[in-house]
Amino acid sequence: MTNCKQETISVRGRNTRIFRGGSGAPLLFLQDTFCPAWLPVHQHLSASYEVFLPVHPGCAGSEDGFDQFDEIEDLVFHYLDLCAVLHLDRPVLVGASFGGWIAAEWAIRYSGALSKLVLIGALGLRVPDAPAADILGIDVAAARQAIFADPRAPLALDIIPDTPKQEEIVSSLLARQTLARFAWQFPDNPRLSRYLYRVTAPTLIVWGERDGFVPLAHGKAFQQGVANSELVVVPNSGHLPHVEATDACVEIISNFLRKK
Amino acid sequence: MQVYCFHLMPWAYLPDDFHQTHKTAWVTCPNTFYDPELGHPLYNRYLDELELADQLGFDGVCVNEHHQTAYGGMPSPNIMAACLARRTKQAKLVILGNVLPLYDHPQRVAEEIAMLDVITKGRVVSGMVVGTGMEYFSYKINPTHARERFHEAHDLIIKSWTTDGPFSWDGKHYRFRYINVWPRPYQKPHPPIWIPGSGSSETMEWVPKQKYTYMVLPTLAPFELRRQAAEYFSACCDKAGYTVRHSQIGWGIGIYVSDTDEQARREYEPHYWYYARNLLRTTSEYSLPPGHTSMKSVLGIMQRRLQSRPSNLSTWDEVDKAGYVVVGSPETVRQRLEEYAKKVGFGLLIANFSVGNAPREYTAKSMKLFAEQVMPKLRGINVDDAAG
Repeated sequence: MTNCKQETISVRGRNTRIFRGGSGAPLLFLQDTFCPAWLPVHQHLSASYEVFLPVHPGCAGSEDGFDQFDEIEDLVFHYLDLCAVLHLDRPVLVGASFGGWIAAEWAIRYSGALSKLVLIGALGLRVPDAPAADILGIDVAAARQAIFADPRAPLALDIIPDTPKQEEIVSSLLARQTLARFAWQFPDNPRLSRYLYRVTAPTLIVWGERDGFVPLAHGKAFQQGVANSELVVVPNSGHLPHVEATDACVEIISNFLRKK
Repeated sequence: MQVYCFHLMPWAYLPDDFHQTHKTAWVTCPNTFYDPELGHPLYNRYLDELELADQLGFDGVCVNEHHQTAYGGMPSPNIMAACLARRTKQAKLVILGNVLPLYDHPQRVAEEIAMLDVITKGRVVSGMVVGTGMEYFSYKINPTHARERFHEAHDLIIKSWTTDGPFSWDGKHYRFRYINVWPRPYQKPHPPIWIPGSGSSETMEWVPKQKYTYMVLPTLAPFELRRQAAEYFSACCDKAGYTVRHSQIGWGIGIYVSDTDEQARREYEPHYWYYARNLLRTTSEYSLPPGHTSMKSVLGIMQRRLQSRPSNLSTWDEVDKAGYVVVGSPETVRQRLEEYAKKVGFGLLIANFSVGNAPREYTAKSMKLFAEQVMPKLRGINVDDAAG
């Protein structure tokens, strides 16, 4: 049973699709590009927060004005503008995977514009000894292996199918295109680590123990770089712990958000 | 009709079972397969074949650009054209083409083409391409910017050839305070531009607006699909306000001529499979990186690819009947090419004689038979009238 509604809002003249649901303090969830939808994790979080889940520029429903986006920083401004449109004041900012990279780039610039930060398997850091996989260069079987702790589970086959369902081909191509625009071959900003000290908001870093896309070393590097942060590793989970181990992940996030 | 001799300069020494042991001959195909001791005679033999084409009276010789692959041995087509510039006398040097988006300094392409054009007193044809998806992996160019970079680089190069320098270029992907290309090209206003394409509609719609020549690439599709591409291109010329000229349609095709049909097939077929199964082998991720081709074209390619890729065919009859290549006795080859030429209207035949790992003597024999017995009979077909 879902309580979410979908709407299209205008952000600086660009039509942007957004899911929202629940009530309470605002929580902006910047999602990954693998399963861009309102998921059980959002449903759980919406029990205590008003959850906003925007569709990234370029992805299905938010194709408008994609040519205006070249750098990850453009997305930071996009989401600050989106918060202005929705009157979100110092939201909890949660970012997973690609969305986590945007959240981190936001936090080094405007840490005061968010109340708490949660990064889940975030892209963005350059860790030369443990590089991220070239997720757009490997085949679907290898991608499932990289993204999921259990690549044979129905969930994994549903999110990264061998043959995409006809009605999902276009949206999955668009999502790959968004990822490629900002994350081609090296899904990072080599200068990001230099500025992690600027993140002052309380920060939770959640990482799948068996993330084969962005290795756990990245989670540790985020934790070391952000002063007020803790790292929680989720067992039996890959790159998308909020999807593959939803209950554990929700509990970890809820505990963190309840803290004063 | 004009006839050109095209070469891929493929690596001829992959193991026979390569396609069973490796997923791709591109990007990550280990370069330990390359042996410079074998490469030295191979390069020189391939260059000999293009020089032979000049001696046999072909209108031009063609080279192209691919990177990090056994498929083609010319990461720098301009170097190959330079090798040929002073060893050929009459033939046009057709570079098909430089992969513009790969370069952060498109003026380097403008300079090198102009150098070749001046050295050869105007024998150069400048091809420009977006390049295969694989090149975007090999050179780490963002594929979502492929088309933008192609168009901007093209505009910059043309301006550098046609506008007195110096001038400034302040674009999205390229910004230069000083563009001032030395030397200037020999041909006025600049060398002819040919644009090879494998059927993406955005290319076929853009070329007519520039009044350039479109070359239907041979690699991926049977005759009927490629005929449709040429037809669509002609319709786009109509839309641009003129009737397409024969010399605006290039037809790339693999050709092999021997004494009889049976002998031609026997000599050619194993080397064709080496090409189709080993050299064309790549992954769909490498060949279709995100954004490299428009959504409309990607969906079309995904549909077509399954049925039409040569590597997915299993019998020679399929290859032969569908017209992926033209192979046979001089008479068979002549008939087939005449039939195709009349159906398609192409005025430029761009023939690849050296397939896969075919040995030197086969290629040379085939080229000679073609030049003596087939080429003269094609000359009168699809010739533009002087007013055209």
